[in-house]
Amino acid sequence: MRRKKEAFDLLGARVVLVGLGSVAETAAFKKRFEVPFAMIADPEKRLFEAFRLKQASVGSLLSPKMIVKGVRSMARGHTLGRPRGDVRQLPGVFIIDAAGRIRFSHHAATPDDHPRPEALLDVLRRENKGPGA
Amino acid sequence: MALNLKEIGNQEVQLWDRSRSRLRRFWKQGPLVLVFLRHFG
Repeated sequence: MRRKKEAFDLLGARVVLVGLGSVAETAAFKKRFEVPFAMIADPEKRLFEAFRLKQASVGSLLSPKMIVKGVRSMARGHTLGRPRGDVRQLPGVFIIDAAGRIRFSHHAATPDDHPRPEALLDVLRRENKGPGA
Repeated sequence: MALNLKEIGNQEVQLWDRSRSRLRRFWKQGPLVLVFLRHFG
C-alpha cells in the first residue's frame, strides 16, 4: 500500500490503517515500518466489530500456505514476536466516499486474503469519473 | 444487514499519536480507504 501512496494521493483519497494494538504498539509499528498513513489503534476491536470483520478458523491459521508465508517473512528479516491482538481476527478493506457511503468492501475470508492496491485504485478511479464510467 | 455508517462515523477513535477523532472526519474531505490489519507481531 505504501508504495502506492502517491497514486492514492493523486485520486484525493485518504488511507487510514486500523490495527489491533495499543496506541504505543501502533505508534511503534508505524515508526518501524515507516507507514506513511494515519493509523488508528483499536485494541478493543470496536471498529473491527462495527465493520463486521470475520474471525479465522484454526485450520486456516495453520494452513501450509500460512506457514510458507511465515517462513518467507522471516527470510526477509521479519522476526516472529509475540502476536499483539487477536490472532484469529481477519482483516478487511472499505472505501467510503465523502457522502459517507460504502463504495467497496472486502471482508477477508482467510488471513492472507487481501485486495490488491491496484483494485482499490480502480474503484477510486471509477468513482472519480462518476456514474456510468 | 447494511452497515450503519452514521452510527459508526460517530465513534471516537484513538490515533497512533494519542489524538482522538470521530471516524467520519476521515471521509469528510474525500474518499477514505480504511484498511483493517491483522495482529502485530
